[in-house]
Amino acid sequence: MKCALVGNPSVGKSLIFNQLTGLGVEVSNYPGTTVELQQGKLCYRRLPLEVVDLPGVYSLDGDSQEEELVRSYLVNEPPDRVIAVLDATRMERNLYLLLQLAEYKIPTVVVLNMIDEAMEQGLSIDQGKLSELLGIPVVETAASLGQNIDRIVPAAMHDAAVSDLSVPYTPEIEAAVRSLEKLYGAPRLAALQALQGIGHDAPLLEGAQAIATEIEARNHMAPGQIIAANRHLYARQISREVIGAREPDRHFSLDRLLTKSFPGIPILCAVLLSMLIVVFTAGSFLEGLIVDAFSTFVIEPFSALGLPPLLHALGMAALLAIVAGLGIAFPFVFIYYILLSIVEDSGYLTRAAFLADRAMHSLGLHGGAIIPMVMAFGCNVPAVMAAGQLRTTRERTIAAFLITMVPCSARTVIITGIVAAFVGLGAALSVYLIVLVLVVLTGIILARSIPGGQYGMILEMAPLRRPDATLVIKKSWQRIKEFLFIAMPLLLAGSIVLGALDYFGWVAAFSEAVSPVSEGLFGLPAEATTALLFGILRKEMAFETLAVLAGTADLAAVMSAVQLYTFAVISVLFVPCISTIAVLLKEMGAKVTTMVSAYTIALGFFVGALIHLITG
Amino acid sequence: MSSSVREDCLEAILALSGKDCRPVSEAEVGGAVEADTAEVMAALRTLVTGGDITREGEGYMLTPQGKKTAESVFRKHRVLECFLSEMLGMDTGAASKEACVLEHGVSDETIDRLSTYIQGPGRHRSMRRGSGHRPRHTLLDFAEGDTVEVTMIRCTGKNRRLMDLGVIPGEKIILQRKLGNNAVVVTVKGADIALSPEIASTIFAEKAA
Ligand SMILES: Nc1nc2c(ncn2[C@@H]2O[C@H](COP(=O)(O)OP(=O)(O)OP(=O)(O)O)[C@@H](O)[C@H]2O)c(=O)[nH]1
Ligand SMILES: [Mg+2]
Repeated sequence: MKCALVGNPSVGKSLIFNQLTGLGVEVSNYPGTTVELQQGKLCYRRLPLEVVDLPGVYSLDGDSQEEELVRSYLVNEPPDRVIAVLDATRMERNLYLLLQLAEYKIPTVVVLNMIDEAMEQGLSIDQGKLSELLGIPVVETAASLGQNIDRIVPAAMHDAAVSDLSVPYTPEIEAAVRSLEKLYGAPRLAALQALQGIGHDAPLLEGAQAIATEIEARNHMAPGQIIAANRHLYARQISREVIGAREPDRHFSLDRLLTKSFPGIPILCAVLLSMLIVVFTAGSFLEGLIVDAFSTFVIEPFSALGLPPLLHALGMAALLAIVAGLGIAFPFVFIYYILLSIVEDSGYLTRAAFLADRAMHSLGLHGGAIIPMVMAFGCNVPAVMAAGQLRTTRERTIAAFLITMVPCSARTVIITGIVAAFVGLGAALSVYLIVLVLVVLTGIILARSIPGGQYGMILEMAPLRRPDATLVIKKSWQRIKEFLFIAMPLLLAGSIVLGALDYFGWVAAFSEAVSPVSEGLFGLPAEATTALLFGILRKEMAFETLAVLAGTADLAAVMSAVQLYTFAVISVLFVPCISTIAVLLKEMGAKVTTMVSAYTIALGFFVGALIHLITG
Repeated sequence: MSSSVREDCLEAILALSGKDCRPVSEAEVGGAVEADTAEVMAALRTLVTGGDITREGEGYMLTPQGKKTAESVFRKHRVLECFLSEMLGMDTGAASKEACVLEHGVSDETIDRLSTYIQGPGRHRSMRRGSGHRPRHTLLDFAEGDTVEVTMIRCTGKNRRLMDLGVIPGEKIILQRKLGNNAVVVTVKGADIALSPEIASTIFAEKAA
């Protein structure tokens, strides 16, 4: 038995999915969080049940990637049940989608989510009436409070029904549908889709096209528009019947400040800057505590053991990896993720997108692209996936370049762990400034040189919400888990291998080979360049390798401030990590991936050499 | 209209040549196509030059390319015929004649008159906003806080999402915010939607009463 969650973006599908399956897919307060189909399993009265979380869509007849994904999923592998999630505060538009969904004739149960917010806004919804009009059961939920979530699966299993609701279309549309049914034996759904140019049945599409042209000539409106208008009208009628009087909303809305150029833009800058500063100061503070504790209580006793040299070297490498990983990256990355989650969940990102729309246009993108760019601060991988949703190849290519330049959490580890900790706060911020300038320059150049049209932004603003503490912690934990259980073991293994290589003198041989470049070009010790190369595997690796090769986590003891700074800048700029390269390959193709990699390598080396040149 | 005569000629040759693909004479084509002889002659000449038909003794034969076009015209004809008869409930003969004219696109005027005749006056008018008087104001001509009624949207094909969000002719929306650079936020069906300037300028509206 398979159940699919379908609904508008940001209605809480993924949150419900997580609560049903116990998994931890991304939940964020902006449209387009989920971009791929997610599957999970659960047991209901000993019956295995598969739940599928789908990307949010505004329509099933649209041409955007996520709309095509959901449509083809519903057509090609129809689930046994649909759980239609509606946002109770935006009923009318949510019903518009439900009306389309009803045409797929899949047994459905309606989940009326966000009921807590509806109540707060003084909205009263007649649930019984809604259920009666739709002919399907309705469950009212507040997913963020966990309210009534346990009723969803039983309702889906026992009460789900195929809605007999059918939109009264204009006579022309009905006539067109009947003609297509008659002549091509097409089902109603396929006929409606064909009229809008959707489908793969060539003769049907040809016939539908002939009628569509005729209808358009008569009405100055394409069938798609007429169909949409009919559905909107019907959705309005239903919502009028079920929604009681609404008290006018007199709350002071923060949007009065946030979406104005002033003080909106200063606020935007302040938010970004304060995030970085908090991360740097709190991160460095914790880092100091943990590294000190580790050296006194673990490293020194270990050194005092007097183990055989090989064992000592390997153990030391492992311990250093742990110190560097747990002690430096963990407290800091965690804080970073928490701040990022707070911003994501507050709904602020869509405001930032609106304010930045103009600026993004000069980079060949539009305001909506801010969202993947901010996601990139966490990790470039999901950001590249989100950028895959942009509409043109031009936009996707530009976004791919810019996103891979954004310092992700791993690179922020390097910036904080090396620059903020050993050089200074101002220096650390200046790294961001350098990156920002380079991102802008790259964007402007790409926008000028890549031909192609530009689409504008049509972005639904997420409602502003106070982020829920448990959800924020959960999400940050979900992300840090990836670091702890996938990256850490890798880093550990990598460090031990490195320790062994070092012990047998192979690293020294390699370092000797790269030392002319390293010292001549960047003024860096050879092991720093070796570390940079390891950074391709994972960006934190650059840092760890450096610590292992230098034999201490206190890098200031072995390298000068300028050297540390140069090292950090190069490793932040050059080459995305392996995972990013893999996802780039999947989403953007080999050509873009190669270009991005080559460009970032060149950029990293160029800027590194430049710094060396300037500082002499 | 000559392209429609050409298509009609192709279709007539297809129908008349039958299974054994015999050549079809000029007189036969002229009899089947509703146009004066001079036009038919001209159309046939163009078709020969275009490689759609060839002369075979006394008559014309379809080339493979011409056959393809003719068949597509025929299918279009059949679909429209069915559509019109569904619409009108008229007998197939009359619909067939109707479709014959319509399949090549008549002037909007004719169709407009026709559709009023079909659906009864008034019924149709609400669907056709903006055909009488051109809307003059885009969303950008209004001030923050204005409630406006959408009259028309340019390039809907490109921005289908607008339609799905409820920005359609007749919908009342509130212009919530307009930045100096003309990026706007509008409230549609209770949701705030941010639009780039170039999108906002495709939305025509008038002040709501
Ligand atoms: N107040 C309130 N907030 C909710 C409720 N359900 C979900 N949210 C919040 O709404 C936001 C969107 O939730 P998601 O689960 O990511 O929404 P989604 O439908 O998966 O969105 P897409 O993946 O973009 O389609 C999150 O910030 C949730 O915390 C609810 O019942 N009440
Ligand atoms: Mg989701």
